[in-house]
Amino acid sequence: MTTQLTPMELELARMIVESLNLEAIPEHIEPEKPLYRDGLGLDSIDLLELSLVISKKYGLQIKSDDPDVTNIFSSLRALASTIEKRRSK
Amino acid sequence: MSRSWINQKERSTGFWLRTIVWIALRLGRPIARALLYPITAYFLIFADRARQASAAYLTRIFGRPPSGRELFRHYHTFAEALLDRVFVFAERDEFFQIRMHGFDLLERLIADKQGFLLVGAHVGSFEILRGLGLRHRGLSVKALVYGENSPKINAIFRTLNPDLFKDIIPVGTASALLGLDEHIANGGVVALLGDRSVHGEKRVLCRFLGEDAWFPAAPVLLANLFKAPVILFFCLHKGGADYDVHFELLAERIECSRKNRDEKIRAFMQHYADRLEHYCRQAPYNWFNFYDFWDKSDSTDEQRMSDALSPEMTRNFEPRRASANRGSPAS
Repeated sequence: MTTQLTPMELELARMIVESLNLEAIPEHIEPEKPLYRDGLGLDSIDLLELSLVISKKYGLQIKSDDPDVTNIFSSLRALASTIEKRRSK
Repeated sequence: MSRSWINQKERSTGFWLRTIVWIALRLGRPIARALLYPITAYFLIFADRARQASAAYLTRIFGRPPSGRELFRHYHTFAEALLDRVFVFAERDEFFQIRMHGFDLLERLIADKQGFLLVGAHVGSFEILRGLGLRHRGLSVKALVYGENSPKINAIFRTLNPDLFKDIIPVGTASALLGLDEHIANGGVVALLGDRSVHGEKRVLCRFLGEDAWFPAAPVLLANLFKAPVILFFCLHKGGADYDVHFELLAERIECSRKNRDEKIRAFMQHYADRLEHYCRQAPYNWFNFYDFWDKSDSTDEQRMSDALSPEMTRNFEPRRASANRGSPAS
């Protein structure tokens, strides 16, 4: 399947696959699918790890009490757009 | 059985739970403890699969099938621990005799303002620690709990002491763990129980009482992310009001690379399983996993638990999802 990832989404997809050591091919990650469980198959510890990588790379802190937290990790697309909006580096 | 029957059960369970809590807090622990005998007998008779699980566990410990008396004692110890949780949550815990072993480990970390992971088990009453030991030292402890399988029991404990529930983090959502790294970095403690694997989370097979069983990888993975020490703790009920709490260092630091991660998870969780076995042999009736612990099928512990526990058992007495959850009820 061909997916159309924006450059930011692709960068993020590569980072996710690399940092979590996934077998998925970054270009093939479907941007609208969930990252957690049924979609990409990540668990809550993976997402914690991912949040640490994101914080280091983009200077963006995502905490469990963030009002937007459910949405942020709902898909690659949502995560990429949040990072673009809120990044500090 | 029909859904409505379950609902009805749940309603009447709520009533009985509130009644027991009322008796415990108004009429006192001795009277409530006397009532545990008929209650235990009831569950022993009606919770078939939980009874089988208890028998299977005790057979491994004793090397022979348990007697009826030993089965009764196993259930009864569990009921006692649940009752004592009422007193812990109500902060009516002055009568407990708690002996701490290895507490100097914690004192050192606390003095250094070093955050750490505390990894316990569904053995004895980790609540004792939660309510008593740490509360009085101004430590901020966040407890990870799995699921909410005993909403009723939790609701009642919550009423007893809403403050204790502030720091309970139900695991099972995408965002559950976010920000815990900061909590540890600020000298806080994250507590979890290392003996039950959870749906959708990574796990590993370790030898326990002679056979492999699933254990969660979470303690090792979290320690690796937090770069923090890991302390094991086991709170054993020794009868009456006596509790022994044991603390042991699992590792000052766990660092995993991509390559050695699985190996580290297996090694550290096997060590955990070995210590768990040690304490189970020391206090056999403190084991509170009333389901087929050695089931290696794909089903998760949560599923096995709900299969193993009859509705009565699940709704009345199972602290677990809740416990963990709760803290205890999270346990």
